[in-house]
Amino acid sequence: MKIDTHAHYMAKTFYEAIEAMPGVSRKADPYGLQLVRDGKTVVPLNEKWLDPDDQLREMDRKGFDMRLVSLTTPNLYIFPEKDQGEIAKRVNDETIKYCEQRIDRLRALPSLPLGDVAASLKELDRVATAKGVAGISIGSSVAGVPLSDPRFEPVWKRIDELRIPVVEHPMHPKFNADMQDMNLSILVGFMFDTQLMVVRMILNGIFERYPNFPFLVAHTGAGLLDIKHRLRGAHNRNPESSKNMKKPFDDYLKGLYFDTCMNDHEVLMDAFHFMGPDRLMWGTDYPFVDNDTKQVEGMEISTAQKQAIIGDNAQRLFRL
Amino acid sequence: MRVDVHAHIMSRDFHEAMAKLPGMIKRPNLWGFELARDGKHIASCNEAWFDRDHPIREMDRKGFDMRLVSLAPPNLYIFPPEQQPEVARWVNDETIAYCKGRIDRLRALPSLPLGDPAAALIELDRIAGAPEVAGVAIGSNVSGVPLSDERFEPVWAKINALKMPVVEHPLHPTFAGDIQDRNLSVVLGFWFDTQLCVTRLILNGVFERYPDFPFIVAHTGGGVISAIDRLDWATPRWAKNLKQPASFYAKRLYYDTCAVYAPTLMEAHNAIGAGHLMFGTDYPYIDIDFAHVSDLPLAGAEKAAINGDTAAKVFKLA
Repeated sequence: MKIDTHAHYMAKTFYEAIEAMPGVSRKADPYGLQLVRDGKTVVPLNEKWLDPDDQLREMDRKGFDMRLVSLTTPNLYIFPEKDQGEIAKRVNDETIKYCEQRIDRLRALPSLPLGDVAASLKELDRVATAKGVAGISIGSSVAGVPLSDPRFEPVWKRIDELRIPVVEHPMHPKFNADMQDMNLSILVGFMFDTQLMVVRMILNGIFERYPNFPFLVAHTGAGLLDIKHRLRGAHNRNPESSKNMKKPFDDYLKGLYFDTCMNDHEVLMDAFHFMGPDRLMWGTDYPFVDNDTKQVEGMEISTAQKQAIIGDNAQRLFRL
Repeated sequence: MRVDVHAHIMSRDFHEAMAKLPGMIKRPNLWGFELARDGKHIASCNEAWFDRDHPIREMDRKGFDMRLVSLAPPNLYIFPPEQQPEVARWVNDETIAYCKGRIDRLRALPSLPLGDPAAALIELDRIAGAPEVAGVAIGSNVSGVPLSDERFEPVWAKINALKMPVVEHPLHPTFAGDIQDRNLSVVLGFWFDTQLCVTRLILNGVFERYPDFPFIVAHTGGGVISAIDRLDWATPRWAKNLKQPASFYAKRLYYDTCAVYAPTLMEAHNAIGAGHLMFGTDYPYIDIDFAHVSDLPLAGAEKAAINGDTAAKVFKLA
């Protein structure tokens, strides 16, 4: 079974809500179009992505069995905080309905209106038990606020109680005004924001206090494993960090799951050796990078291990 | 020959000059003391590091033949542009004089006053012929301006004409203010800034236009090597004018071993080859020894290349 854990459903209600915001305009882009505001990318747009059947045709053509779909960046956090709860309902309902009509092929990862923590708790309870829902999608930061901020503590607590899988997706970093050239806010900024998020979650003790939910990190940890020696050293020297952690830094990292979307052979092998065969899950990043399973097929590991990465791990973790 | 390509010279005069800049404060930290300004960490230091025999003693103890020394962050760029040429002259002279008496053990990587590109050209000419000078040190950004900015084009042209090795070192990114918690501006921000710097130099065609000088990237690329496939995916979309995919340029650069972590080093080895890796200690900060290279599952000749043979050739040390 081939299960894609990193893919997007471009909900019409999501685009409508973005285009209804003041100051948003359309601009040409290698993807087709881009919605921009204040000179900064908000989200790419291609008319083809708005066709809900296009996704399934692509999956059929490529022989993919199942796909988990979520909103893409900027998730719901671009909307005014007071509106996020309502927009979340509309967008999540559209996504869940889309998946439930094809429940043998698609599952939803709804988003939480994290700009409004109380509304997030309600939305979490509302969607958690829906048939078409496999987990929750979460951005690497919420309009510039780190996920490890104390305000989100009740959300992590509830997620932990529900043991619902959380799938992270990079957001534009808070500081992305400094990297608008050559699409760098996506190319490198996304990686930075995922790295910052994981490090802050670990150093601030979120995974220590809430150890019972699976957390899947996008883009194979976004280069975080490269920096492991430095992180270890920094943690050892910094008493402020170690007070939140009862285990070595690496143990928290090893408790996470990574998707394969860095798409680099060496990075995948490194992640495989560090995380182990059960903690990697294949993803396409449809409709953006839109990979196939070739990178995983090319890994120097057993057929059973490849199968675990391409589908078995996700099937077990997301109860598919 | 065993050569350390990533090490710093700690100048008391330079630290005192920085401490006198308006708004700068000095306070104790985990290393010894730090300079900070506007709530942002600027530099860490320790009194013991000002002792001029300290680096040599450490080299002897660890069995290093040669070390290339440069200023640590924030480099010269912390000074106002109009002060940089003067500070460059005296601090480069101090570094060169320090290496002069120990030319068999130490070589200098002087800094350029890039806040004033015209002065940087003059300083480059002034120091380039000195026998103690092995190359120049460059920060990953110049007071927030990317190294690929057009204003630096004459500097790259001159460096290229001189075929002068350039050793990159990370600096605090423009967005350091957003990542002050838990020293993240150093721990992650330095890596991010190196990655941004190299990505921009590649995608803006600096290495395509100026292919004749060696460029050594700190901390094993700060994540650039892992992102090679992502950069190739980006080339036809956002860097259409490049003649080759981004990885072509990334593979021509050299990378020090200061990621330290064996899988990262092996990943770099497999992606770019042993001949493009150079041993570094990050003295006096991380200050590692040879173990991180000796323990790699590589052939003896490859380890010898990483530990110094390649650096000896590239920096013409023998």
